[in-house]
Amino acid sequence: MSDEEVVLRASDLKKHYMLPGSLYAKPATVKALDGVSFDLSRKKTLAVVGESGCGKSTLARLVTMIEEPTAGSLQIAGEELADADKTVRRNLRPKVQMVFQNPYGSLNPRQKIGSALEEPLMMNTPLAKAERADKARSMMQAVGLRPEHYDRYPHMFSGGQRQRVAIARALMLDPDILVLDEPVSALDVSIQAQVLNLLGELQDKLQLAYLFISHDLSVVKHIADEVMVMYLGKPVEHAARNVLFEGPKHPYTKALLSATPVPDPGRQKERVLLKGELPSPIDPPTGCAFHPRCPVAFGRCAAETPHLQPARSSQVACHLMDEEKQPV
Amino acid sequence: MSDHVMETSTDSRATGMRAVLKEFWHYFSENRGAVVGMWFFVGVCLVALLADLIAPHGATTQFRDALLTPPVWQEGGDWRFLLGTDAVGRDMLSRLIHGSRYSLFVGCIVVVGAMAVGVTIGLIAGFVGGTADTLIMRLMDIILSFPSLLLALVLVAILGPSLTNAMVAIAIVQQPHYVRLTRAAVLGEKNKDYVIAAKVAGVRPLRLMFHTILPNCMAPLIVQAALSFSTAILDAAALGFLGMGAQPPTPEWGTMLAEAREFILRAWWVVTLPGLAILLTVLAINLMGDGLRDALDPKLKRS
Repeated sequence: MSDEEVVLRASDLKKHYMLPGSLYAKPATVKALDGVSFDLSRKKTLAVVGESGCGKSTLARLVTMIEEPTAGSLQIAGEELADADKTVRRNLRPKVQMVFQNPYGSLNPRQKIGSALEEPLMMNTPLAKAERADKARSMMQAVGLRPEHYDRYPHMFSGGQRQRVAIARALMLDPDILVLDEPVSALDVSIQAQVLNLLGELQDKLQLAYLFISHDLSVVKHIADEVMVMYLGKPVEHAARNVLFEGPKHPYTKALLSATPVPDPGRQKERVLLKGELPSPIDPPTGCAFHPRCPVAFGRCAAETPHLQPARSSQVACHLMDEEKQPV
Repeated sequence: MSDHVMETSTDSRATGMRAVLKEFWHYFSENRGAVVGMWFFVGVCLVALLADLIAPHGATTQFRDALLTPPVWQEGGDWRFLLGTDAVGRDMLSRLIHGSRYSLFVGCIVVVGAMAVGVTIGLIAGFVGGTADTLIMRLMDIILSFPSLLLALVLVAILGPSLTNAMVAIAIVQQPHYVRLTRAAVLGEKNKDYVIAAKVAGVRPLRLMFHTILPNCMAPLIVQAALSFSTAILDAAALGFLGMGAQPPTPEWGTMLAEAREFILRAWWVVTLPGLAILLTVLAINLMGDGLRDALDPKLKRS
């Protein structure tokens, strides 16, 4: 569709952390994020999946401007962040807001819900106190909180209610993009559904773009438009949701999908079991980072790093795709 | 229909300050000693406030006809002087009552001063980190490496002996404790999600430090304040005893002790009573501080 407005564009985004050397260790670089590119359009949801330590949360921290990327470019609403000065950054900040994984840690225990919701307005807009309170109350209603919750402290709420508060706070500044860092993984399954439905409604109503970070594939299947699978700081497969779930191409994606539990005891399980552990991002394997654990690795994998390239309707970083293209 | 009623029923649990105070009192009152200590402390505060009304005589009024009169219950006691008189004929009770003012005054000023400075420095050290943190903490380590009373003594010797300078010296000696405590608490809090959430919402560093992080670090600081209140009183009395604090004829308890030293064998009351006053006040504050810690430290809470 041509009328899609791209609100977030990342190209070759990298974040490397320096570990200072000591008497016993050489200085090392952790490549937490090593070359990620994607476009995110209004009203779309891009899900980022992968196991712990694959760089999902680092990506969230870069997009929300908590940290600066080491290299690469990040455009928010058409503005390039890398060469933006302080005022531009301050003006862009309200456009990207975030909902955290753990609603028990993301709300200030000494701050009433009302003032937590008003704080973003106080910092970024010249609104008067009464107007801020009005906005906070109408937002509380929009996320399904009752008016008397305004004067409550976070410890008086359940996990699901807290996550509603966190969503309300993120929406106070009318952002274009909402980064959802595993927003439901700390919640009960029954509450998860409520919060996911709320997120879906809000997306339609407020034209939001979601960057949805998760390791729960059943949740991703429910909410995502596009899915990006990451492994050790690099995307290995990027495709539309249906394409990915129906025909995963990268061996890692296949293994990941086969690990999703299905509530059917009679089902024949065909699991792709991976050997070994996730390698350390300080010292990643040569070539394709996945090759030591890959069930179908061959000679070229250890020597050459594959890049994301179109393979039928998805983008895959795997040498197998080349082999398929040139049938013997 | 019944569903509708459920929807609109409001939750009327108490919120805000009153609920917090009620919960606090629940945990605090579990500790008997703390409650006794608190009431004693409240009593001392009242005595200090109403000193002019309660005291039977002036703090420096001398009765030349009644030198070293023993307390009433001893032979030779005089009903005019319930706790006897000192070597120059001043009423002990009145002096003790007036002395409570100095002790509480010293405690308050020292705690407020040390806390204000210490918390600010600690916040900066914890929040900014890096070189500033290292510099500040090494400086605090140096201050802490001296025996506190000795350092206070040196400072008073430099500044000149007076109650004000003694308070300044004690505050300087005490603030490293606040710096360390605040820094540790800030380091624990500053990487929590709610602080990052505030950053994403555009909250600026100063507000982040004092409005977002500091209120969540207060529990250990309140306990430290209560406990160092008694240390301050004790240190002020010690400095007074050494002639480096309040100067005679101020009825400060430590100074009174020093003046009465030579009569320890002849007139026990002149030495014992100020000592007892210091002991009881400090004990009461310490008991109260323990109760505060039990009530405010979530790790010690029994559900």
